[in-house]
Amino acid sequence: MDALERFSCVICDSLTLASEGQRLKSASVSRRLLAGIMANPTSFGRMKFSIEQARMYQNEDLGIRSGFSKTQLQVTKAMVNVAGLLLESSVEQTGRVGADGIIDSFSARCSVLGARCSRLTTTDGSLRRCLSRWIRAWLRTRRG
Amino acid sequence: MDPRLAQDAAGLRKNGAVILSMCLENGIPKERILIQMPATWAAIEAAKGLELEGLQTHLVDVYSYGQAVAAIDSGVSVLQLNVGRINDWYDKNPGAIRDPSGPRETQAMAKAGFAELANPGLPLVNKIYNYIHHSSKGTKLIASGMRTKKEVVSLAGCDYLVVGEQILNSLAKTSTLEGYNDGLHASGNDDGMKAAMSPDQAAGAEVERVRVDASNFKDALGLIGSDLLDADVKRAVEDATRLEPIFLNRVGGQE
Repeated sequence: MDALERFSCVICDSLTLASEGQRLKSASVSRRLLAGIMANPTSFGRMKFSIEQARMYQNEDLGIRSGFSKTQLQVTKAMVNVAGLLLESSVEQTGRVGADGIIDSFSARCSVLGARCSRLTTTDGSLRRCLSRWIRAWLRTRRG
Repeated sequence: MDPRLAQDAAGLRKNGAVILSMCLENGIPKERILIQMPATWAAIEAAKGLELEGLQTHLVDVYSYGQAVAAIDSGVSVLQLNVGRINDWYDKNPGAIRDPSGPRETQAMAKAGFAELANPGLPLVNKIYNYIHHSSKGTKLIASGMRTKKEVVSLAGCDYLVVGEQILNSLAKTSTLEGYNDGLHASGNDDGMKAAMSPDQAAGAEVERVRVDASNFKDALGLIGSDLLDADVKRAVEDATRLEPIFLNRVGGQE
């Protein structure tokens, strides 16, 4: 896994119950995810509340400008609310939130985070290589 | 984005503006938003406009090289391929040629059970990665839908790999030479894994140049692209249509 992460940023594709409260690398909110949150009887309390809040959303000006129905706007607002919640509580500082989509998997992580991630692993690898070189030199000295 | 607008570029741009407006209301900064859309021609056109407005776009459901080229040329920020679904399509359509440039004997041998059938999604990721590095557009590539550890490792070097939890756990338990020092190996750089894709390798690779516009987009999609893209959009539209009454009733019922 460490070796793979030297070349690519690896992201888990699912939001599990254990993910609540954990820092995620990125998150994508979709209509299917909303349905999943609403259907879950025991978890995602804050997210459910944010979806309920969206049902009260009214913005006539935005509705006129976009031509969207009230329900379309409310569903979009529900997704944005959940995205905001994920961003605030779960996604890493430099990660991003995807607004809607056809797939329900987690997706992109920003390039800044990617760069930082590769730098960290490189440093880590260099340290390890440095240590192993030092141990080999020490062993040679002892054998000598 | 609302999938019912998947074939309506102007509608998708309006939807992008609605999402942006709502995100700003919630205090979500513009730079932390990725607008995700299926890679239809309308979405590619909408993405071009949204990117010019400073909104980053993420196109999913990319299944062919021509489709990817059109998306990259329009300047999308992120492109996502599902290699597992590509392989599934070829499994369901055994008459389709998996590698048009490769020897036919390989596929015949594999079909006869003497070799493993290669996943055509894997070389496609490589080909698109090379194109991105030649185009200097800065698009990031995501590969998802890998079903085995071997497939994940064969895409090492791709910008992002979206991997299932089970494979992630399995990868975490797999040891490589890295971090293991038996005192017998002189090289500290060989960790047993090599990148399948890298900017250096891409710079030296030959890239197929294709020009895709509205008139030939359907041809660029090919049979696999048309089949899978249509199926994905249809499924998303069904999801959206089903969600609205649930949203209104269930959320209301809890009050």
